[in-house]
Amino acid sequence: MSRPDPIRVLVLSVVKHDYVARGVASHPRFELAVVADDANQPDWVHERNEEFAREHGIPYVRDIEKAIAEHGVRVAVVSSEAERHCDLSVRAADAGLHVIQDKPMSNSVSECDRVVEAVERNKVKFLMWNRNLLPALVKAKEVIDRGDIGTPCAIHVDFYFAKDAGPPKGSLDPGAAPLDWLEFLKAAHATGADGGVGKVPMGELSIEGCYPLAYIALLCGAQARRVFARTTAHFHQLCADNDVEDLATVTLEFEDDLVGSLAIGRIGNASHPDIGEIKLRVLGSEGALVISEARPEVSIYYRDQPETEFKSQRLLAEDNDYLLADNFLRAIETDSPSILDVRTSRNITAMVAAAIESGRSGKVVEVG
Amino acid sequence: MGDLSLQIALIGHPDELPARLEALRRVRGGKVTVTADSMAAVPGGDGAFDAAVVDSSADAARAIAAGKHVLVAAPAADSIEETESLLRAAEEAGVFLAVGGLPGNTPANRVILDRLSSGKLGEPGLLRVHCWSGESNRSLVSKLYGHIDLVIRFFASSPAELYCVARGDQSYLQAHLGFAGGGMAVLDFSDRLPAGQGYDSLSLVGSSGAAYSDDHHNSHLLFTGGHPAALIDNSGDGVLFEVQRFVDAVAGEETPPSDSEAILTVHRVLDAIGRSSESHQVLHERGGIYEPA
Repeated sequence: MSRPDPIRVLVLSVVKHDYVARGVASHPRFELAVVADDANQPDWVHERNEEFAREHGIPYVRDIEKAIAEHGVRVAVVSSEAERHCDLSVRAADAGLHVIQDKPMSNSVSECDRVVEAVERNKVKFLMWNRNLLPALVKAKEVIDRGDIGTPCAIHVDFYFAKDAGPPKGSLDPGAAPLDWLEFLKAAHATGADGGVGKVPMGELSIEGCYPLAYIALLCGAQARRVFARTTAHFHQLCADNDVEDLATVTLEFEDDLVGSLAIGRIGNASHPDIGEIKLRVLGSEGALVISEARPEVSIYYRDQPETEFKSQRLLAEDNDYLLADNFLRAIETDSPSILDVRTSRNITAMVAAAIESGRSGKVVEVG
Repeated sequence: MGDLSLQIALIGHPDELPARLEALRRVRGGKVTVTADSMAAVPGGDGAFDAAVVDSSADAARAIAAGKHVLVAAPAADSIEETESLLRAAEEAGVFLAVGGLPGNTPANRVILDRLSSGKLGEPGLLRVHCWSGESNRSLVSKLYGHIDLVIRFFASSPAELYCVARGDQSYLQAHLGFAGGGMAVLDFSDRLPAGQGYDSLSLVGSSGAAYSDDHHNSHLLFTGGHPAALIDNSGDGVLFEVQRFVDAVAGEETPPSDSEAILTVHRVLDAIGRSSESHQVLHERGGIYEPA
């Protein structure tokens, strides 16, 4: 019995970390076929696209519509700068492609609404890349769905990345020129810490907030109605110079009396021995659950170990990528929603936007 | 103090007295000479001791009225008015009124406070506290006092603004605090766990370091068939530290361990937390009073 032909995938810009495209390629039913982008993109964008294409032995086409027409692709993987995510996703959906998009969905809720409309009108599938299939999240969902803790009443996520983002706040000469966001994030490509690359500066809520909010969506399935947030640039001069936060806390009030909170930050290399403290705590009507998102892991220590090497290595994290791709395949083949579909992704962006507004205004904000 | 020991009356619930008595055997310059479940039940009356360690405002008031220094478990009283009355009475009687049972005095939090005050953690940015237990009939003030005291100590100021959410007649409460300069704290308290051991967790993120103190880290595993159970290690309370400081203060060897204004500030913040959770409003501090914007 012959296997079905792999689904051919268009890599629609891959200028930041390339784990989404790689993750999709880890599944035997998907095949990266071509990389494409608009011709009018700057040189650094083309350089990165070409590098990825070369590494994977696939062509790079500086014409998106041409690449779609000529390469028999059915899925687009979008990993551009965040400000172009939605435009590229809309174009892919309008061309009849299913879309896998890197996070964040966008830094604009109205752009997300365009994607929702395009995806639903064209009846294609959408997946925002996420971490919901990490072993710890799978375990948490099992426990909650089984009813072991009853009905969730409160859910809290700590999502601290122990990474630096340039010089510490206040460490530069007072007369120093503000740090340029785009140039700094382009340089961060070497370490993979370039999730916020683009012309528009983004704080941690925008860059990473979708991950913990996706956990909450997965485990509780509830929509936040209102938020109260505190945001600040506490650690990094880059964030202070560009008026974005690297530390935030958000109180979330959901429908059905569920409450929650998010604590998120890019807290600096020195503040955790590994990638950071990422924990979920869920209080239910009949119990509670505390989950360390990093587990299972193995700890390794040796002489002259580089400071930047994590002492604890996650196990099975790559399963998340394969499982996400498999989930998306199933969505396509059974005409069902993906694990993080377009409307949930849009709602997460709306929560982030409300939290940013609350942080700036000091007011409770209704989620739009 | 030489050979003279401060004679202490230890007042508390009979189930708790043996463990506390054992811990206080290590106090230098002080000795528990009498135990009882209330000041009224102290054998031999007021002459039998110099100072009292009590766990209720009523017993604190009796001790002060008898001219005894008193260390009372937090909160000194449930209301700010009653607290002010106790403080006034203590001042008029020329005795100390100290507040104990504070999370800030536990071994873990003393370490964190030390690292913070020494500059190792930088400027405090975010404090996160989870405090869960089984059903209790404790008042809001009683449940939160110690942690609000701790927050104020970490940030060296009271919050500039706060927003609080409560559920189920305050069996769950979440307090979101903001501080001048950008610092923030989120604390949640629940007494909805099934009967049994509770859960405590604290993390403090500063501009150049962080501290994590979590029951999850301090757990052992017990295998008795089926899924293993987590045995949360007892990481100690602050009772010995507090009583020692109290004894040293009474002996004149230390400054008094409590500050009236600090005690009243905690009460003002607690009052604001209650009002915010009822009104669903953000409250801002202005001249010591918390008001809507």
